Amino acid sequence: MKKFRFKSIVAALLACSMLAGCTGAGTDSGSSSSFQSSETSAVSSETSSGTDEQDAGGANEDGIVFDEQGHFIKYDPPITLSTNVIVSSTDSFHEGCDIQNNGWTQWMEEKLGIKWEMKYISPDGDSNQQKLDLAFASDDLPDVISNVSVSQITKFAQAGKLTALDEYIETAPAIVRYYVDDAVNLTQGAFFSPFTVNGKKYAMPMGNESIEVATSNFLRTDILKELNMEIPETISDLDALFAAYHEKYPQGRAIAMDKGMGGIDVVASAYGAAKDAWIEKDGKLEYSYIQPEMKATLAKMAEYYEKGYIDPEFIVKDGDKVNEDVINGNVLIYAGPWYAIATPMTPMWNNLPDATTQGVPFIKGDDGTCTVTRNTWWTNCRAITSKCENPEAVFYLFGDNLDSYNRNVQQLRDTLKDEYDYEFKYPVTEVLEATNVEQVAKDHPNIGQPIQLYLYEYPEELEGCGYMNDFYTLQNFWLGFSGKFVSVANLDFETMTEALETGDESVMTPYAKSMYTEWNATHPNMLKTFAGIYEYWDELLDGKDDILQVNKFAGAATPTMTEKNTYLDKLREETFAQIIMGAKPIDEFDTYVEQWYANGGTEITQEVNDWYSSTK
Amino acid sequence: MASTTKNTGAATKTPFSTYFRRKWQLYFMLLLPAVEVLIFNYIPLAGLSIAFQNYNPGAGGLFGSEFVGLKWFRTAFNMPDFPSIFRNTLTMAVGKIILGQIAAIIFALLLNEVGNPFYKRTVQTITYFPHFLSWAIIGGIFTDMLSSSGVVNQFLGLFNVSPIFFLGSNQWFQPTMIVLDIWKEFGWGAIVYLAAMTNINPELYESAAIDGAGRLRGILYVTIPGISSVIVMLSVLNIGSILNAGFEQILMMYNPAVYQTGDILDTFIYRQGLLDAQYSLSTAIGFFKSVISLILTLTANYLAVRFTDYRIF
Repeated sequence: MKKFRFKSIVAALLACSMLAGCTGAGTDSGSSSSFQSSETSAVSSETSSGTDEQDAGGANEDGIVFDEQGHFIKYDPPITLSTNVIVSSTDSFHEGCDIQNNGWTQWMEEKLGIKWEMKYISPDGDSNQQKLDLAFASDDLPDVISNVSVSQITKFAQAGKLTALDEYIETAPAIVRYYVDDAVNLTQGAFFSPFTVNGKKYAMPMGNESIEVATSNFLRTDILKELNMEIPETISDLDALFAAYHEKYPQGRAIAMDKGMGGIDVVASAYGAAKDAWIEKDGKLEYSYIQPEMKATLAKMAEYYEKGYIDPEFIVKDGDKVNEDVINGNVLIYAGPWYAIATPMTPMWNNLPDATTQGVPFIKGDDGTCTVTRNTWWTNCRAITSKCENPEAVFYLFGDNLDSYNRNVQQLRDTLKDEYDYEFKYPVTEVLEATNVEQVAKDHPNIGQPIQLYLYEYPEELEGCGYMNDFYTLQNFWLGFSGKFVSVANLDFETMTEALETGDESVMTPYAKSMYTEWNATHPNMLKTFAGIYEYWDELLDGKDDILQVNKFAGAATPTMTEKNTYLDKLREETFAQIIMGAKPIDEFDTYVEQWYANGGTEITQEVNDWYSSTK
Repeated sequence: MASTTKNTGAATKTPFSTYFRRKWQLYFMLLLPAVEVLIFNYIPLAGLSIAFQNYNPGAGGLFGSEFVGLKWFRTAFNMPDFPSIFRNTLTMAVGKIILGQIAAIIFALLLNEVGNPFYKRTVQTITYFPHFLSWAIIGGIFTDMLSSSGVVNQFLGLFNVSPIFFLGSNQWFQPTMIVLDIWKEFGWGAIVYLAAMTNINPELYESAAIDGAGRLRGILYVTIPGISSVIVMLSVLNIGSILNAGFEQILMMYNPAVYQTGDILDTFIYRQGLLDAQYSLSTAIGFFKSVISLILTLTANYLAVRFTDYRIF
């Protein structure tokens, strides 16, 4: 289950205050004319002079306009920033618009004086990273790069292609500094560590949702009822359930599995095995893939494969093919991130009206133990390349974005005023609901939540209304300017879950309310399934049963990793596939471990532990 | 050369300047392709120096990176999986070249015997059509067709053959790749042979028939000798691609279960160079490939001149 394209829904959810909007297709058409023709002038500047000294209302010598309180208003004359963006096939636009020209870009250009050039457009994260690699090789990276991996950041920074951000972070608008401080605290200081090269920070992490840190097990509860079985708790329960399922549906797949072999997550928790993580054993960090726990997991998977519980040809199936299986009702347990409720679950529910799904707790071992290694808080980031002439613009955008998102959060207004002497740029604004939610859900039944197509009736004169529209949020997400940097306790999710349980809809935050309406319009099962998962994760993150452990390695890719990982990954994938498929005996795992150590693993372990001791 | 041949026998030789003045249009037209070749084929050769450097696109670039000699070649040859990758490449490429050529020749011979021009042309069009499809499409189709419940295994099931996992077993992967490649390319490959066959003087067939030769003898003693020079030429040219086992095809169709038999030099270069950005290492392997190809092509040409008296360059 490696490739999920439904990141876009996260974008909407990351926005932690109200999101509604003012414009739709109506204003998209003609509003961009005034700045279209004006030439972009090079506005090179440093923000070190601070924002407060600027003349009210006028442009300073760098061509940046600030208001009396020092809020960034616009670039005059406008500037151009190039970037890369991921637009998947399920993302849609209002008529006549595309990623390069839409309400958001027009608004940016007209109101903020920032013109965006989408230099590279990719359909998914993998090809996005490949394009960035190619752009790097041909020295053609855009000004701002987003959805960059940790190892790419290291590589680009070492080659001198990135701008160090330390100075810009220090002089960023107060609201950005507040969020950075908050994120640093939440992550116990590790916020920037993967992106720090030679003591300088080179990227802003793109935050993960708290419940996104590991996969959840989605179980078809209607099949469970049909088989007269209980929700499995231990690995023995799982054996019994699969045996009963296989007897009834010999062609069914007990565990959804594609060539990325993500399905092993279902049994890994029972043995405490982890994928691609570094875990502490006797004070030393060890690579999770070579542990005996993984061997036990593979042995179990091989057993399931032999018994016919898993697709015999999983190794040639990609995620889309497996999703087809799920949609056709051919899968019992699907391990995936929470947003699988959108794809493949929503099409599945539409296809099989009687199907019900529940996120079930992780499978325990027969001794009752259960360990799940969660991901780090971030996997991607955004950075600014060294040829970008206006790095500060990115931080103004962060500021403007956060200000607009949080305009209705009174608590935050107070905190920022007291602690950071910061007045919000945007006023408290009444939140409107999208007017065409039901129509969109009807027109696009199999897209989880096509927020890009929602329309709102905000008054045109409303300042900064762009950020209040879901569509703008999405565009922000595509470009890496989405809401908070790290979101740990999400009030929207929490109140939405509460409302569903108590039936009291008044407890919801404005955004939760709009999500609630939209999800219900898309498919009522979305909410029900999500609420179950959310509650479970909420308990786990509170430390319930001590199930969660963290990947302890948060550093950049080490030199030996860069050099040897291609071979080591190949070796692992090959060995694991052959063990599961029964082509090689389980003891082949020991050979793999030896080979791993002999071909760079020893050095990698050393480097990782050096990093670990340097952080203590 | 036309003017020089005209003047043969005459003592005076046209000076080049006169010649150029008369034929400058031809040179002018040649300029564009020449520039194209220069820009896209010769200038990029400078990039080969990456193979001998600690190449860093940011600091140093092509001319400023540290020179490390043959380090990357040693690294590549010492990779634990290099021998198997090399072997896979060679097996699949040789299989595709030899069997593919035989298939194309046989198909061309058969098609040449067909009298009805409409039927002949239709068959030809249908058979070379797959050549224009990308492996991304064909790979997707065949992944389905070759699955255990796919058409091929259902057909085999009629003869009580238990399902074969063509794309997931090390035993079957290489033959499957070779057969698929032949299926995709034989129609296209046959075009050159068919063209060569139309150049054979029909009188030869008539006199062979008068001498009592049937169709089979006609093929053996007229058609095949008639196209032998083309066969030699294509063989020599194909030998140059002996380390090209079909990057696109393998990339689309291989998977972790068949890395042992499916990984080839090109996929290796792709993973190292593009995915992991080890430009120097992958350039070194690419360079190594080119050198081998060059040596083999020159050798094949030498042998062709020596034994068949047919010269390609």
